[in-house]
Amino acid sequence: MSDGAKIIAREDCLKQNPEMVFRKEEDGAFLFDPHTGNLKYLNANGVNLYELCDGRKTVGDIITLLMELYPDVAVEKIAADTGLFFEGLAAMQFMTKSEKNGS
Amino acid sequence: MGPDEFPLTSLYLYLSERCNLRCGHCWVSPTAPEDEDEQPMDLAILTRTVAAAKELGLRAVKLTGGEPFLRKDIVELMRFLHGECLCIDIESNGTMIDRDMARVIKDCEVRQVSISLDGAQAAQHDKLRGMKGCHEKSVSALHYLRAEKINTQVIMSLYKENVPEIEALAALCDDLEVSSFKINPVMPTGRGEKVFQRQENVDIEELIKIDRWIEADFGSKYKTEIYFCMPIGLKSLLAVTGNPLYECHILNILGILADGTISLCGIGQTETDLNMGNIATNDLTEIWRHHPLLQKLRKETPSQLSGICGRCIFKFRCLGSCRACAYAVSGDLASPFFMCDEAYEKNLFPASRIYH
Repeated sequence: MSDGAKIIAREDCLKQNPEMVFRKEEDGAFLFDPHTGNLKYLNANGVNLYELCDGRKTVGDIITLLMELYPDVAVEKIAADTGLFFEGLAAMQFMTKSEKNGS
Repeated sequence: MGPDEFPLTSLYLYLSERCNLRCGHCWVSPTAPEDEDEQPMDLAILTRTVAAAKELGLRAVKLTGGEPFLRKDIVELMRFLHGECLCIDIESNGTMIDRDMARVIKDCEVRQVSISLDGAQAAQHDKLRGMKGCHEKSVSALHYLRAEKINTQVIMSLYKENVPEIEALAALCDDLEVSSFKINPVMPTGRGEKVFQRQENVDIEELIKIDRWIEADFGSKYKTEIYFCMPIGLKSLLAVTGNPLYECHILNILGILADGTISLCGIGQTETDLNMGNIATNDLTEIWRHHPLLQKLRKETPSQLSGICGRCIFKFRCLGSCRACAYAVSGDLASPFFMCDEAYEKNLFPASRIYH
């Protein structure tokens, strides 16, 4: 688990951890770690963010996409919320960093 | 996994094997109140055991039965538990709670008193509880408890025949300023087994429909919190992520039966294989730390649950719902819970919650 220090940088590419179970439901999804039992619920926005993590886009790329989608929301807020969301998923091993080629 | 990873947070004290009602679904099959054979556990031994359990992490004690108020020294016990700063919860049919007892309960700062009511109408309740006039007494108990501003809960045991009573009972709970209304579908254990044999239980399709109906229609209508008890895997996404759910913390509980027998919970009254000793002759701490049954339970729950429970993404939270019921049905503590199993067999278990 994270000790509070940031583990995700803006230039990092994130990919979904294939060992985790991702299950979509009508208005959200669950991420489940069968090894630890960790379970996280994602709302619809969380699902969108999770699905954007294809191992090629950087966190910065995703923030830029969100800024275009939500022009009325302050850039700082988008960056902070997105960073926090990915930090949480990475700390629980639901996300891992990848090389830019997606591997 | 060491035993210290599993604090013993709750003791369920089954204070009497006897009950003054004759509920057709009772999962512990109590004897009649005039039963002279009952050898209740000695209060001094009981209080010593509770004190020892505090060293293991004890925070709450539930007084239940049979009917707990048939035990003559229950007031003394409540005062002891209060003095030990333990949270006290009581489950009762309410027929023996009068104004004076309500005051004692208030003095002992009992956290919650749960009263059984299976219908808003006396005829329905009295029929299912096997005694004419018991509805009136139970409702009176709720009045006395309300007068003392004691937190109350109504527990309804759900059969097919009292499904139409749900809404009226929710309204009655509201009128009586009951804090929460918990609906428990009857389980196939104890006397409940016969309810299932006679097909008087509500089947799984209907249970899921009732759950969704309550969730959609009741929340804004009543001040009383309403809980429909069903395993989390069968609950809606909204329920899973929203309100607290009733879940059994089986890895942090022990039951002590009326005669001092130590068991997983009240199931030990009918499933004697689940009994681990007696507080009169055995050391509770030793049992909690080293008894093979508890070690097996800790090892297998939830990692080695079988069937649908072993494949459910909620298994680490749900722990297989009621393990006592699973054992009573199959003789195996790791077997799937009957409701989830039935739902899975009928293709009603959400595919999104199954892995492997």
